[in-house]
Amino acid sequence: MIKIKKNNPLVIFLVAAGLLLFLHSTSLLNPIENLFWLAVKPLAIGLYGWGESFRNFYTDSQNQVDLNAQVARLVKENAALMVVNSQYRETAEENKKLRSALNFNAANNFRGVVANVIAKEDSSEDGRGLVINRGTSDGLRSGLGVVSEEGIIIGKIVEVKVATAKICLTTSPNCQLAAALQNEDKTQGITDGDLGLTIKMNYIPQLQKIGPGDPVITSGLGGDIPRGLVIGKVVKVYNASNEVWQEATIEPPVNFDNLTVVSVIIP
Amino acid sequence: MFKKNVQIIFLIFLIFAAAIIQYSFISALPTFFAAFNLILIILVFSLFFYDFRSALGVALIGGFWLDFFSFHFFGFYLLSLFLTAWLADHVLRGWLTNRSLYSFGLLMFLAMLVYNFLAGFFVYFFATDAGPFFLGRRGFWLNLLYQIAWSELAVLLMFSLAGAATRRLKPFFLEKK
Repeated sequence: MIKIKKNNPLVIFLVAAGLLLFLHSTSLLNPIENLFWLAVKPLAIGLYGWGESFRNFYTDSQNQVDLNAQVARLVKENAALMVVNSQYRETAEENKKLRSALNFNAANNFRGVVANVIAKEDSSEDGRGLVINRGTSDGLRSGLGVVSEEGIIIGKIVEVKVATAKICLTTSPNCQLAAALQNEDKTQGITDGDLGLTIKMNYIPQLQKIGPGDPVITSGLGGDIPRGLVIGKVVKVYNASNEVWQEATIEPPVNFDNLTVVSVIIP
Repeated sequence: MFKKNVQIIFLIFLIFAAAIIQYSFISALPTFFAAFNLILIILVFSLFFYDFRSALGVALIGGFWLDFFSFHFFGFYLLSLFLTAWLADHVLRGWLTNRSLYSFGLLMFLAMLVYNFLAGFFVYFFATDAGPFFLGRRGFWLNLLYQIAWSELAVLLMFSLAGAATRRLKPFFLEKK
């Protein structure tokens, strides 16, 4: 007969681990866990901030060689954007007048919940999700869109706990968004992350006219994400004549490595 | 008894600090640095320099904290760390007969290997967004390589520090007079 000693470390471990699993699965630990999260959040935000600062410092020192070329490119791009911006201002002014004339209510009647990023967590192949310090207690749920400080959509919520939520980034594989191109044909499709670096848009019919530079926005279809949030712009189009569909590579306008504050859009 | 309780509370806070540093600080670092597995290094360190009981303590407390923070299923870290500690203890007692730098390095290497395979296995079979099988992923092997590099660096550092603090790890020779 096997004798089990009372102070056997293996037995102590298994009993303690079993007890923790039981208390967690029956939600008996929830009040303590929630209280603990309240205390831990500021610490997690601070530590993540330090990590981000180190990352930025390290990345900057690695990328200094490319900096001059990048500045030249940005100056060019800035000039082009100024022209586009002035046209948009004109349109916005005109839009405002028309709206007031029609007594039209603003369509963007959603609220944003500001959140701090507290960690990065592996989500899928080559994709690292972000964890934020807001959860179900703040009204969050799976499927809600998350935007950067600039208002660019960076991903959506995939899992929620009481005090925290996990976001998949638009560049992560399996993180799909309903999207629309701002081209002549108003092409619609689904975007998906590509190797954690860029975004691809598949199943675009061959007859649709798309080209580099076309802005891509959320289409507002099938979910909790409103229409009109910027995803990025098309940088490359793959349209082999023997294929049924075209594919586009989209570049997001924000660096996902530097995110510390984000907003969750609640429609 | 009082002293022992204080020691346990101190250990809980120490491992909590390590777990939150691992979860929030290390995860925010660039990929190579983010592969630093602090909790696992502490676990192997306590197994090698102390005993199996201490390693299980680290697995229990560290596993609990990481499970508390993480979005993996609850028990993911508890189970991965426990199985790693258990297998590493078997290797240490059955294969490695002395307490040298080489045994410490080999033990750390094997622990990293076992832990990553277990974690990859659990994620693949239990996560909803696991993607393709982990052994076919370039990211898995790269991360494993980085983790081994960091842990072997930690072995060198810790062994040197421990060697300076105690005479137990120094080689000795029986001289015939």
